[in-house]
Amino acid sequence: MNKSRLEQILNAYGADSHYWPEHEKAEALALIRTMDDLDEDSQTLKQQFEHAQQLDIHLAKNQVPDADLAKLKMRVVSAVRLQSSEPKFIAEPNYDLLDRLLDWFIPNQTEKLWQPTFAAALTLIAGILIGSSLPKSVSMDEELYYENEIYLLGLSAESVEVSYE
Amino acid sequence: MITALQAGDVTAYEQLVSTHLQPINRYIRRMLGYQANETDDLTQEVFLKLWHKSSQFNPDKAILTTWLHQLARNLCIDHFRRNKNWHLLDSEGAEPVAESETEPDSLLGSVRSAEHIQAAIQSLPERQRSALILCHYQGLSNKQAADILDTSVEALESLLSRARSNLKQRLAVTST
Repeated sequence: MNKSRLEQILNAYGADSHYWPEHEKAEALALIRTMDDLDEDSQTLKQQFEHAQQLDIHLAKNQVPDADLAKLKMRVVSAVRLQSSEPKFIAEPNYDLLDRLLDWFIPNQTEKLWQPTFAAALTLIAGILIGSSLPKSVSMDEELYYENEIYLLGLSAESVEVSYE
Repeated sequence: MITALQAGDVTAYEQLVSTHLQPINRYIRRMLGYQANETDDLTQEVFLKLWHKSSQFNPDKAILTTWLHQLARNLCIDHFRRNKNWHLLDSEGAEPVAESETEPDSLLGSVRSAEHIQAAIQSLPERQRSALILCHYQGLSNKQAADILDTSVEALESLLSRARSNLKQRLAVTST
């Protein structure tokens, strides 16, 4: 602690040591006690101390009238009580099975869209797997029969065109 | 207590309100000027934030009173902005005070009413006013006040010195 620091403390916190930084208080008070009145620096500090004291007296006059704290507390707490008593989640109504199934497939929330997507993808994969695993159901004779049918249909179409001409 | 509050315990909340309501209300009253009608609304808003945002409070990093003062200060700044009280927000632009022929310090000895002092404090820029209120009237340590103002202790001391110097000048000028 030196005179310069004491001057800073007086300028910032005033003359009342109650407001001074706790860790510097003892040293600052000790320095004040040892100050020599004849010393020029000490005279300046003493003057600053008195000016700071005058401002402190004025600041002490400024007392704020308290609000009606009991009323204010009731207002603050009841606002929170009211909010905390409201149910945070809407109770789920008693859905029947069809509703639950529809809800699962067509959800209201966009973040649940994976459900119908997953169901559609699963159906597609199952279809492909079933389709590829089935034995070929059309025999060679039937295949030939169909080809002949298509050929004959083609011929009849050509004959119609010729008759028009 | 904080853990209980964060778990949604209304009784814990009520106890915390009892402890902190008066200092927070006083801080807001001093910041706004105690005639302002909005002081109780802002106080309520601070404590609603305490309820809704308690999960954001970390007791390892700050103490509750500091956090509440920070909330209160931010709400006061919002209030000044809403009401376009820009002069109350200007941190560095303290209005120049006309030079008095008499030494300001000597004029401090004359009688000043509480209203004069309050008006002089109200005319200080927001950061200077807040620094003075937090250290002088709210009884907070310089470290706590610096945390609330989001600054260093050295910067806080500079704000306090300027606040006191401006006050001396303003009180001197109003007496002439």
